[in-house]
Amino acid sequence: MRRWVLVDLALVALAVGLVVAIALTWRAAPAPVEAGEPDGPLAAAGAEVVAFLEVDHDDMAAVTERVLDGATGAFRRQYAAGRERLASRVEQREATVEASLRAVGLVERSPGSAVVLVAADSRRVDRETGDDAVEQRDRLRVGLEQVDGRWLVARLEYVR
Amino acid sequence: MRRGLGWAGPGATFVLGLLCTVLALVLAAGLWWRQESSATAADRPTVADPITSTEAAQEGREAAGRLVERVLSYTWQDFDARVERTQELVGASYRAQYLDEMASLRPEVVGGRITVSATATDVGVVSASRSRVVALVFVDRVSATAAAPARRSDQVRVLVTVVPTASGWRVALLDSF
Repeated sequence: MRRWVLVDLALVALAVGLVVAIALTWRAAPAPVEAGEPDGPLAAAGAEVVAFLEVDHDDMAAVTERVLDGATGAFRRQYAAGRERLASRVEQREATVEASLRAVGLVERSPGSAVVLVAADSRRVDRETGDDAVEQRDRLRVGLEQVDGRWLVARLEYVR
Repeated sequence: MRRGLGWAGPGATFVLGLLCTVLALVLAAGLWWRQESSATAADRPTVADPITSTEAAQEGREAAGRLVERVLSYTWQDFDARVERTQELVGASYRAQYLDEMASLRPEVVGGRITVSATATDVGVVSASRSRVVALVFVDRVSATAAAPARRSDQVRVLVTVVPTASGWRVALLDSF
């Protein structure tokens, strides 16, 4: 009987050890990974393109502020210069555009600058379209510069 | 003491032995999986850095543009021969889909004498590792038919995954959107 007790206790200890080992293995397993550097040029370009494509006739001040926040250089100057006109046109047409990011890809990157491709979809509703939203598939090429550690859009052009 | 350990005996030993065997198998499977994962971890894009291999990014980028042009171009004149040659550039994971799509296009292309020529105008790397590169490709497609020789152009966005093999880069996945 004593022999069975020792064997069984050894097996119980072994089982506990195995459970602990399994738990540690599971915890140490690498998480699935996908692309998407949170503060990198790809994320910055994607966010800025969505901000650029979206409009909301009810709150254009917030829309344009968001775009300017992610912009720098020539793009920022151009956008700022046309801000009033854009807001007026959007409000006049009672336009709303919702945009969604489909993909971003890095063309080139050097210290402090990057060029990124962005694919985004947008859906526009205004006085002209009524309830029949106009959908658009956009292709954009974006130039970014790193300013005080933040990636900002300095150039933005449609690829057509 | 003996009364407290009254469960001990051949029956309990068998059950515990079985339990330990199952747990050992689970552990072995877990360790194997972890080994496999860590073996490729250095090759994988990560959240911190989607491009873990600059060399692969450069080579894969070039290959992605070249392969997308090849896969998306065809002509009625040598449709079958071209599909035959192109499928050599397509990995097993995408081959069936590629052949299905070509088979469904064949009657229209051959019957309508259609020629489609695809040009990759821009290529950006979405993620890159030594074992695979995902690229966003902007493609301009120009098509002409016997009935309408005037060329029609359309613009496409393509997400392509290319993988390096012993005989060069191959398309593992391709999605136009």
